[in-house]
Amino acid sequence: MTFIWTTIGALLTLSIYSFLYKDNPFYKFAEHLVVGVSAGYYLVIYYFNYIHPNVFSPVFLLEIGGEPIGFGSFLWWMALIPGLLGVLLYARFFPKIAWVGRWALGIYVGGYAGLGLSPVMQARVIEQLRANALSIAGVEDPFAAMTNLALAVGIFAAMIYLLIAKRNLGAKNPLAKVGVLVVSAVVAYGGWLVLSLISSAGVVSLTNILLVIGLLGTLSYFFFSMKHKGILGGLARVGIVFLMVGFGASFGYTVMSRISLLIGRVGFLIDWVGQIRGIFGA
Amino acid sequence: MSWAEKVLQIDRRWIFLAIAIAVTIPFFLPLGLPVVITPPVQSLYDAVDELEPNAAPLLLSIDYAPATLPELEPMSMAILRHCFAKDVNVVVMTLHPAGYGLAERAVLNAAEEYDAVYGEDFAFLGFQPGVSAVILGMGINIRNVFPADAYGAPVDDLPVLQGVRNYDDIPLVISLAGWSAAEAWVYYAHQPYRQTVGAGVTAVMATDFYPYLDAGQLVGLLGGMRGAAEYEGLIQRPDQGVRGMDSQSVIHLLIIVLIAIGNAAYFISRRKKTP
Repeated sequence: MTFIWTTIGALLTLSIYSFLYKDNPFYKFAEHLVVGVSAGYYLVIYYFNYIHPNVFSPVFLLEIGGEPIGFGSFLWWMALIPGLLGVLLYARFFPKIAWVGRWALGIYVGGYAGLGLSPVMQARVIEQLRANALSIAGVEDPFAAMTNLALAVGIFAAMIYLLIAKRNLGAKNPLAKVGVLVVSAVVAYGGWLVLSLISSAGVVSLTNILLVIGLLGTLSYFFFSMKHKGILGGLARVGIVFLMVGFGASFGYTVMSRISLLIGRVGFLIDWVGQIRGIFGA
Repeated sequence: MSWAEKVLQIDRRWIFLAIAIAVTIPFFLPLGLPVVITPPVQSLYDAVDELEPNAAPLLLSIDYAPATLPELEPMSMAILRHCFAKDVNVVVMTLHPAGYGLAERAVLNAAEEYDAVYGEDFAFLGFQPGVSAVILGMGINIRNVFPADAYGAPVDDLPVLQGVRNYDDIPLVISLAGWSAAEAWVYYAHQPYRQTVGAGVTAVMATDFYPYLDAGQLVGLLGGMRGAAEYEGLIQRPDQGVRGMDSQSVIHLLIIVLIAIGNAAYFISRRKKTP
């Protein structure tokens, strides 16, 4: 029996790959089969894991997980109301009452936004920001890390200030000159810090330095409120280099991922041929 | 027509054929190229290896569908074999509706190899829809989300889950995912509950997960078939991952050569066109 299913799988695999030569009825058949089987499978899975235990069973059979609940009880209402909201989503098929579906959609989006806002903000912003507060000395030193972060933020802020001042006030304006001084001071401080660490400690985390430079460069590239000229232009160009390296790594991994799927199918076909040889004693 | 122009106009089906041949040949003539262990894989291996035998279970969330099977099933088999070989208890679940059968197949096959006993050494909780709600709910009480295992047995009747209430009682969660489920474990298990989380993802997703790894939000990371091959190397049990790596290497070499030829042909043909 297993061999029959394996053979069906192998023939469907070959049908799908036949598209690489050109479109043909075997490919169409396999494609439609995948879509149809997937739709049926997902419908059954979602009904028996979601709709039946959470809506149908409590509302109509008056039980949750085998335990009886009372008609009109709190749990009954808690199953009925979300179920009705789910039904309201289908109101969009009737133009006159389509607006009713927005209630359900609003609650759905609001609920997920509420659930996700804090953890996603922490995971993708706060933790990542903290992870970039790196010590360029390559040691777990909070003071050094904070210094580094302050340096990075200082450079960025001063740079933006300088550019805004130059654009709005003119290059000869005193405020613009102050901006130039601030940038010069911060860059000089950063250079001194790096050089002192190289000379004294002898241990400098090149990775961390590159990471901070890459972060600032990439952020600069996506800063579209001003023309990419001067310092911002230079940083943006550095950012492009880091972006290209990132895209290159992604491309390599993408090739590996797609080829892995092909390897899996080829391995499956080779095993299938082996089974045929075993059955026919070849 | 020069050779460069001919190259640029080559029927792409020749390239498909070359790729097919390059993938197939290493299956019959293995090259045996070494698989170097990278730090993210070593970290995940160490995290599993440090788990105490016959104690609090590892939670393995097998969150993949058939579309990503070749990359992720070798990972699940390698991790399950590692656990069963060390008598580490395992609880398996899935957040993907199509992952039910795949998760069940992986855990039952691995358990059979090591004579692991259902209920005592491992359990399969099945599928539960609603990714973020499931992960957050398990942080309060696993029984609220999974009152029974995949076969209907109450969770309280399973010895492997005795005394396991929430993430406080689970030393490590590993998500093997071909979609954003692994990220969801970081968002909803690591961030609010400080749960230690590891991940195995498809290669195409791997670059998106390195920031989480570097920030300490993931304890380790397996990226694609290569990650699986490395893990198989660490447990000294080469299987589907290692088997595919020779083909991977040959294909990457072929693609590099094709890119080089394509670029050379493009620049040569462009130079000839411009006077």
